[in-house]
Formats: sequence, structure tokens, C-alpha cells
Amino acid sequence: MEEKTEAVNSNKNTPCVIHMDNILKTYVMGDNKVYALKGISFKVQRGEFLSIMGPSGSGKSTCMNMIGCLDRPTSGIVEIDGRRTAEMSEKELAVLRNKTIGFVFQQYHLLPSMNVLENVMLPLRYQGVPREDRLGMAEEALEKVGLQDRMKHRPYELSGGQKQRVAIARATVTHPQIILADEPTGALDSATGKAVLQLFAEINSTGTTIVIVTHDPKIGASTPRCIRILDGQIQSDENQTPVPWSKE
Amino acid sequence: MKIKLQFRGAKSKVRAQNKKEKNMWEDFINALQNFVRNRTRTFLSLLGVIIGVASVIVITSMGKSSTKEIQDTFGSSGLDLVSVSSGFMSRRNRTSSATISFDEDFRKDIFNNIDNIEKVWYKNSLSCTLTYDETTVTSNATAVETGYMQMAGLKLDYGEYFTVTDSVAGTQKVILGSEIAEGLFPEGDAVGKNILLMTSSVPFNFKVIGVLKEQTSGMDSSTTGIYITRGFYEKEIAPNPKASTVILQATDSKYTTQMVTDVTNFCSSYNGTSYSVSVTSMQTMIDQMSEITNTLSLMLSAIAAISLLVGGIGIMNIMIVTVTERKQEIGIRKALGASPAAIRQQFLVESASITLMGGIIGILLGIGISFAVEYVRSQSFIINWSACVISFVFSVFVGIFFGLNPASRAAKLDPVEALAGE
Repeated sequence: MEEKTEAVNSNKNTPCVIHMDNILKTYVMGDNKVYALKGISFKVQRGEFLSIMGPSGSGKSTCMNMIGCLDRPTSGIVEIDGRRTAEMSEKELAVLRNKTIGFVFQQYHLLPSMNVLENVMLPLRYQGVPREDRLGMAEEALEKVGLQDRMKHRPYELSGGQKQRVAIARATVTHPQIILADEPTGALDSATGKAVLQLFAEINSTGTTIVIVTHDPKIGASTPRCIRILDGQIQSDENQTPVPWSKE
Repeated sequence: MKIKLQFRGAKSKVRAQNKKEKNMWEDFINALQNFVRNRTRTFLSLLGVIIGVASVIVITSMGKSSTKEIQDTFGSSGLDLVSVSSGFMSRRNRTSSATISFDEDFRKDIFNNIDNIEKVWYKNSLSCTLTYDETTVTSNATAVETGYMQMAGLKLDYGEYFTVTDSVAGTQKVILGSEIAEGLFPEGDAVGKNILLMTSSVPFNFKVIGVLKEQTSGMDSSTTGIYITRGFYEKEIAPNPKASTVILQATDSKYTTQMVTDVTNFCSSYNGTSYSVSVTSMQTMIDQMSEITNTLSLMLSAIAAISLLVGGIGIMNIMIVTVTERKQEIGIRKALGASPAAIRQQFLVESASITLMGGIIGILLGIGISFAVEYVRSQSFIINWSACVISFVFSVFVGIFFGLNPASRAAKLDPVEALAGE
């Protein structure tokens, strides 16, 4: 545990936080072999703000799972913060997810049985941070997203935008290298969606790498870099001038 | 922040010890919250454990209470005694209707024919009323031989026992049971007072020489009985009397069980006639009661074991359902960095806390039932605390054991599938 922590931290100087090299992912469905990813390669540098865009079934979700260390490639190399996930055990992957990656989901995925504060504290608990310290860190993260007065509320008492901000607080509370957001504005109206994207931009400005996975071309256009995926292959990967997002 | 991270790294070794326990505690709190949320179905699935634990508590409590009752009733004194009385037909020997005479010949015969007899005591009893001043009470007087009371363990509260002279002369002296004395002499100090003893409408004047100490043990009552000398009985009630009860005192209590058989056999062919007698000893009564208690305990233990097993399976079932239902939660936790071990621990703690609740409910229920049962049977209420502790620990163990499978199912879930929640 101690050593791994060292390993993760020691790689802070490498500029490349995500390295995908010729990723192949196949699923067996009945007698058919389905290719979800057919050889994808790209690198993401520290502090980048990019979107991975593609229609449903394009393989963008599989790609996200690879980056998020939830899944391992059939072949190819995935390096997250300098660590190859293919060779890591479940336990090591859990540590990597915990320390290096913060997830933001379309459906927020807050635990309904816990209040806002407890939800935000949860990732720290799996790091073994003592409760007293967790409280302070979670409060700080909630303050940053402007929800310090909702800490004792349950998720169902919050609006969609508030829930997503709690999810962002939960993702940032561990100060991860990468924030991985899966359709973060998908369930939100235009104004709140905009606010959430604005929040991501703010977090990005502190040096955190942000990856947004989306099907929405407008969101794809709103980030400085956009990787377009279709049928398990990269269609384009370009830097662009961001166009602020609006739903209409 | 960098400083904070380093700071945490340095401290983490020290905190590692506390970490697991603290997380366990939080898992426990979460488990209780889930328990409350699904209380009906969790409670229903807990019934097996509750019934199992409750029966263990009831069994042990009743066992202890019965044992205490036996000890109280018989005490340590009187275990060397065998009591013989006539008039009871044994079921095996319905044809025999002859009544045996416990006369002086019988006394000699039985003493000579049965092994290991220390002494043969003859007792007679007669119902009577006692009057002092305006107060009259009904009692059963036992006419005893000198030394019998001391031998039978009847202790005096105050006063004195009968002397040999009293017996020989048949003096009209009486020793009262504690309740009788209280009834006749509410202000106490009964010794020296004269009372009127009426039996078969014949009045006698008796002088109280002693009052018995209240005891729960022994064949003879120390509370509602009164004692007179057999000398008086012989002189005034019936000359050359036959005893109503014969007490055989064995040289050692270990012979009493054998003596019961010997005496029954001896009487069944005494002087060529088959007499049926009732032969009892405290030892055989204790044996019988212990046997009943043991059989009962064994039966209830089997029930307890089965219900704990069934209860455990119920817990396993409900935990599998819980894991399936909370698949997405597991996925979220895994995405946030929960290791398989952390997930396993969470569900093991949950399963153990459920059965722990079951254990507590079962213990309380068991205590309640034993209290009710022992109250109805007017036994003394004793809680077997060690059984409570064992049941408590065992119920947690059941939870852990039957939670192992569901917990490792949860731990093994694929994070992607779990997050999808399908």
C-alpha cells in the first residue's frame, strides 16, 4: 500500500497522464466476437481539457472504462499516470481509481442512503483518511462547488444541477490527476449544464486533466481538444478553439 | 495540498491500524441504516436466528431453573434415605391388592435382608387441628422416633428437639413448622406455650418445645408440618402401631438406587405374599427429573440448531438479494476506489450486524419467554448469562459464515457491469 502510493505520486512529473496504445477490446456475445475498440491510440498530457465524442455504440464508453481503470484492454497498452493497467490486480486498480481518477456520471450515481457530506467523504474513506480529516476535506470540496449549505441533505432533496455538483465535489475531493466525466450534462437543462461545464473549466485551470465523454457535438466543440470515435476507431483528434456550449 | 498529501503519507502507517476498525464501524452504521430501511423483510429473514437464539436462552434458563429447583427441593441432606409406603399398586402388578404391615417384625426382617441399611425409621402421620387462644389451624402431624428430625435435616429455629425420655414416656410435646408457629403465635416466642391438639375429635394438651427453621429442602415439611413423638402415638392413638411410612437410612447415599430395587423385590415376595409398595428415594426422583430435563434440553437444542441453520440460510438468501439489488451501489463504490476486500468487508459486516440484531432480539425474547414460563411454573427465574454471551457471539458467527458467499459475490462483481446496474 505504502509503496504503491509512492509509485503513483512519483509519476507526477511525467507530462503524459493517459497513454492509449493500440487498444483492442473484444466481447464475446454468443458465437459472435464484437469489437468494441479496434486499435485506438492517443496520449493526453497533464492539464489538458478534452472531450471524447461519438454516437452510442461507437466505443466511447468502453474507452472511458479503460481510462477509468474499470476495464482492461484485450490487447494494447493503457497507461494511466505512468502505470500499465493490464498488469495490475483488482486491488491495485482500485487504488489507482481512488487516487488518480475522479468520476462524474450522467446519472450522478450518488448513494441515496448517505447525505451529501458522506457521499463526498466516501472516496477518502477508501484511502484510509481518518474521519476528522475527511470531514474537513469534503467540506472544502463542497464549498468549491457552492454547496456548503446543503451538506446534510440527502441526494433526493437536491436538484439535478446540485446533484451533479455534489458528484463533482466527490470526484475532486481526492485531488485526482484526472476527472473523467460521462455525459455530465446529459440530464441537465441548458443553464445548469453550462454552469457544470464552467465548473470543469475552473477545475481544469488548477491543473487537473479533464476528460468528458459525450455524444453531443456541441460539448465536443466546447473543449480545447476533441477526439471523435466511430465504430471503435478514432475518426479525428484535433485541437480547436472552444465554442461555449448551449443546449439549443 | 502537496504538503498535506505528504503529511498524510507520513502518518498513514500509524493510522493503518485504526483504519480498518474505523471503516468497520462505519460499515456497521451503514448496515444498521439499511436494516432500518428494509426492516420488514430483514426481520422476517431473521426469524430463524431469533427463534434459534431464543430457544437456546429458554432451554438453558429452564435447565438452570429446574436444576436449582431440584437442589432446593432435595438439598444435600436426605440423599441417603429410601422411603417405603404401602397402598400404592404398581402398574405391572395390578392383581396384588394385599396391604403390607409395617410392624416391628417387618422392621427386623427388612433390616436383616437388605444390604447397607444404617437404620430403619418408622413414621406415622395423622391429621389434626391445633388451637391456641382463638386461633385454630389444620395440619398434618408426623409422629417420629428420637433422632429422626436431626437425621432428616430438619433444623430448629429455636427451642429443642425431642429427647429419648420424651419418646419413651410419650410426653405431649410438639415441634411446630415455621408457618404453623407463625399462624398460632403471630407475636413469636411459641416455645413453652400450651396448645390444644385435636385428632379424631379427641383433644390433647401439648407443649410447644421447638419451632423449625424454614427450609425448602427435605422430604418432610419444615413449614406446614408439626412433629410429635412416636411414643405418644403408640401410647394414646394406637398401641403397637404399624408405621405409615418406613424410612430406610443407607450407610451411604451411593446405595440408595440399588436399595430401591432391593426393597421393591423384597416386598413383592415378603412372607410368601406379593405386596405392592411405593418405594422412592430422593436420588431416584432427582434422576427422573434430570432425565426429563435432559431429554427436553436435547429436543430443544435440536430445534435451536435447526432454526439457526435455517436462519443462517435465510440470512444468506437475503444477503444475496441485497447484493443483487445494490449492484449499482457496489459499482459506484468500486469506481470511487473501493477494493474487493473493502466491498467484502462491507457486506460481511452487514450480514454480521443483521444476525447480531437477530441475536439481541432472540436473547430478549428468550429471557421474556423463560421469565413467563418460570413464572407460570412458579420456578425461580434464572438467566444463564453465559448462554446469552455464547448465543450473541454465535449469531454473529452465523452472520459471518453465511455472509461469506454473498460478500464475495459482491467483491467479485465486474465494476463496469455493476455500474450499469443490470
